[in-house]
Amino acid sequence: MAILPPDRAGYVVRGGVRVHYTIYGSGAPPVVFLPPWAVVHSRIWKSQIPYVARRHRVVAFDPRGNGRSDRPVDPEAYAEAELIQDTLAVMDAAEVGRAVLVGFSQGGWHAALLAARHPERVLGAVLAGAVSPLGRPLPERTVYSFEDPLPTDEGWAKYNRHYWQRDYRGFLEFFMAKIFTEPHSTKHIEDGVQWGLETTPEVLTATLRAPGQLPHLRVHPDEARELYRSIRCPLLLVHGSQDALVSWSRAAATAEVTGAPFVTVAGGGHHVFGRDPVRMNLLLTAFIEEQILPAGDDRPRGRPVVYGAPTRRIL
Amino acid sequence: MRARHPDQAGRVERGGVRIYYEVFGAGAPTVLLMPTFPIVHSRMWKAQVPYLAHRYRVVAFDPRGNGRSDRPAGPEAYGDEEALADTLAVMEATGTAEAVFAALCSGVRLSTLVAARHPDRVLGLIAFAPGMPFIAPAHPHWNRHSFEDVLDTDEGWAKHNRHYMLRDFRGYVEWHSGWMTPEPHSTKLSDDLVAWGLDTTAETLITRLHAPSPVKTKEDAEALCRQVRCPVLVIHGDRDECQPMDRGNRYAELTGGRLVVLEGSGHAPMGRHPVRVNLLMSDFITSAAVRPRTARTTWHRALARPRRALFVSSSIGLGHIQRDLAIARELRALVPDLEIHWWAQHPAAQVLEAAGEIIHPQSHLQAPETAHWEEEATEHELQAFYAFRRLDEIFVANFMLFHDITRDGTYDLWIGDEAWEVDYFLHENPELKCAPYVWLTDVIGFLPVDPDGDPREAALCADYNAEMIEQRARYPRLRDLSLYVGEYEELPDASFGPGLPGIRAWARDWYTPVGYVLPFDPAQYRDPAALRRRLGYGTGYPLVFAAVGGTRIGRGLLGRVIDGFAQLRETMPEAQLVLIAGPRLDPHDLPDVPGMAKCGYVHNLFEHLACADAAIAQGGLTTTMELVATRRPFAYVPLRRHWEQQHHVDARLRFYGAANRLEYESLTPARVAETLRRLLAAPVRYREVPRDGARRAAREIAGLLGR
Repeated sequence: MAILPPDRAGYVVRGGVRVHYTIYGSGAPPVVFLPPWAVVHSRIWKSQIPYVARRHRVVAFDPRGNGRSDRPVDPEAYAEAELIQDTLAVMDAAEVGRAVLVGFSQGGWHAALLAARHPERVLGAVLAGAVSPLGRPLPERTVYSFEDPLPTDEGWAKYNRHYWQRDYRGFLEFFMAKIFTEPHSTKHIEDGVQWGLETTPEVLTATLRAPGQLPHLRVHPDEARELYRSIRCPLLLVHGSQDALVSWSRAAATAEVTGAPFVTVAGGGHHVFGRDPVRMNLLLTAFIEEQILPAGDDRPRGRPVVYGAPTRRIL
Repeated sequence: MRARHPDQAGRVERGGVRIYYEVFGAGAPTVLLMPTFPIVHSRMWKAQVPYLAHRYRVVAFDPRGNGRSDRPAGPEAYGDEEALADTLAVMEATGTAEAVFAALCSGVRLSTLVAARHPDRVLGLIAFAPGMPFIAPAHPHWNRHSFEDVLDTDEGWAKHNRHYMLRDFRGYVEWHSGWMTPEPHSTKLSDDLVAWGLDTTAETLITRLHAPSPVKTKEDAEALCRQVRCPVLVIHGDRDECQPMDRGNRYAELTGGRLVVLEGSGHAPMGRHPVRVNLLMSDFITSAAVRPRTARTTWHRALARPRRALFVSSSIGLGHIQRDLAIARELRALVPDLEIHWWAQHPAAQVLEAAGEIIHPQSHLQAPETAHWEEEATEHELQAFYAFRRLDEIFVANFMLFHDITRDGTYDLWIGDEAWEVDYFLHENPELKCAPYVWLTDVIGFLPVDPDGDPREAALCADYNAEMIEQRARYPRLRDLSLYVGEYEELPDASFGPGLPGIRAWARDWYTPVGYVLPFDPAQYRDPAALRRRLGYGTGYPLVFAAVGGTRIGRGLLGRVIDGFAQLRETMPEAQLVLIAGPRLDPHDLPDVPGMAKCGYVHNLFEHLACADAAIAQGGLTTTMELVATRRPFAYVPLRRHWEQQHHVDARLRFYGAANRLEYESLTPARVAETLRRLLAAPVRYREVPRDGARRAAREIAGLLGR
């Protein structure tokens, strides 16, 4: 169970689809954790929320298709534009004008889109294991068709709607093991499989058929670069060197074009915030302190820091 | 000596008054280290300059009235408006359009004026103990006595009085430095403050105290503070006798700044708590003024990291590096996947390079210790304790570098062989320890050396020992291992000082002995004749060696040995002398006599010494113990006033039965010749030096790595 209950929770409803959000803590600037692909939901941020909420107002939400959000099966419901609008609607509901966005995987792409297209809502963005049209795909992910029946179930052939119908759990176990390539990740993989089982192959199939800009931008990298270059707020890129879902080269290419600071987690897989939460939490708060707060209108005041208490203490 | 010299220095002149400035480094932004009340000058920032200059550009200048700036007459010349104009002139002269300002006390008032009137010039302001009058009441002791009137007492705060200042300026300055540093064990900073105070005069300070300021009322002061638009960091000690904490609080409120309280600190935290202050300053400077730039960093997952140790080898001379290499070899045998990086200076780094070891790429940025020791030495004399004490500036500069390379947790283990700066500042800043840490030493405790029993020296040695004993007691697990190179009986049978424990007894509680560490197996060097043939010396004649360690200090001793050897040849014409000048003395600068060969740095010196029929050495530990281990007859000449050679090495050599001690004062050529004759005639009866010291040390250390 979640160790920190939300201070407030609710739904935003758009086009008849309910999206569930939770709000924790207080403090500026607010931090919004974006959901990635609907194979998982907002619990992927469980290692971040209690810590970050001690300093900041935190908003998290479940994607359409998983968690406590609705599960439409019409691909149009999962259009990129809808997911972007969900984020803005959740920020409105949480009375968050501008926020630091933290996006992982597909959420990282959405955070970049929001930073570029809605700068008035974004103070800064952390893109972790982020999907990007730049860089190269992993070669093993380009072999098999998603839609067609395949003669094999091995490896990435499991990323196929026919296989999902036959053995959805088998797909989730394979996929989560690809997310967490780090040794000794059993708990992380189990969590991921559980979250994946909260939705259905039909929902995930619909999300993959949803319209978005990525296919176009992948073949028009100049437009993608232009989009990234238009971002004015501070960015931080984080990517595992062993990411088996989104290639490290995508982050490197994104860093190149944005000029943003780029942290490589050597030995890290796709979800570094889940697998290396302590270092990532510190990185996130340092990013806010160093890059976001100094630029803000309201400089941090608060209690004085005290060094050198001379008494012996035990924790 | 200074840890870092300016890259540029000069004077600006305004209305006939010259202001001296210095510029260090080339990074961005510029950090302007401001002057304050001229009882001190720009050297007050000596613990900040080297660290900040590695990252930023640093400009410092002396105030009117002290340092290398002029001392004009009349209070008007010392007013805030003049000081403001001086500041702008220094910025102009150094090409500094904008800077992060750092200032103490009344320097904060001046900096606030600059920030309010020239907001485009001030990127940020670090305000130590803000001396902004009126915003909160002054400490009552400042108003207890009249400054102008003749008082009937000189006690305490009555010393802040023009008549007393004129009567006993040194007394005033000493009193001033006393309350500025209420922290225990502040003798060095306190001495510095006195010395800087004595660089000016009572008349100058009295004139300055009457100088005009535009801040005349509480309203002026508050309005001025509210005009500050840049980020502000306030740092205030809660034992500050000059500026009350309420002023720090209020100043932070009025300027929208952040307050950091240093508990237990007085009025000079930049000198007394330099590590914490440097980290606070650099964090602030970076967040206030460094534009985010493309930076690629890599963080290694813990289990994906190579196993690494950082070996910090103290580099005063060459003594320790061979034993450190021996320990490293044994350690690698026990932990084969261990990668060792070295943190060492010249000349030790040369030896490491020759041995194919990995030297940390930032190692060379360290402020040079060896040069400091040589600068401190006179002819065969080194007041080693005072020289050590004057390393304060170099120690903090080098600790900051150490901290920067270790803070990310790159290392599984830190090993410090007499890494004094690491050990001292880790105890002062225990929260910075982030790896298992091994301390290794062959010397425990400072002991006075003054032949006349100078009480000041005795008190200072005792205070340094007391601080170390308190540090250990307060943070016992800071060191994961304290290894003593030797056995307890090899320590001097002496006390740390009045009221302090005995050295041996204390060491039993706080140290693990590993036995003396030799870098070679002495059993391999018990056949001098064979060895002499192998090294090309040949046999059948008396072969004498003279060696003086790795620094230039031994020049005088070599000269005397040469003269004495010349006398020996009169009665023993077949005798030969090999003179080892070491890596930092040029053999060509030494005279030539018949039968003598000279060399500079000699690799594996112990092999050559093992060929000696007799030897004369400086009283350094390494060379003398190598002679004991290879059982060669030798006499040693301790450096005068060198506490380690006078006490610790001497005690150890006596323990091993090698007590041929000579005093440099009475070392005439006849004495040298006579000693050599005696050594050549008599067999040695030394205690055996253990062969497994390096292995014992390595076994203890490997335990920390789970081996």
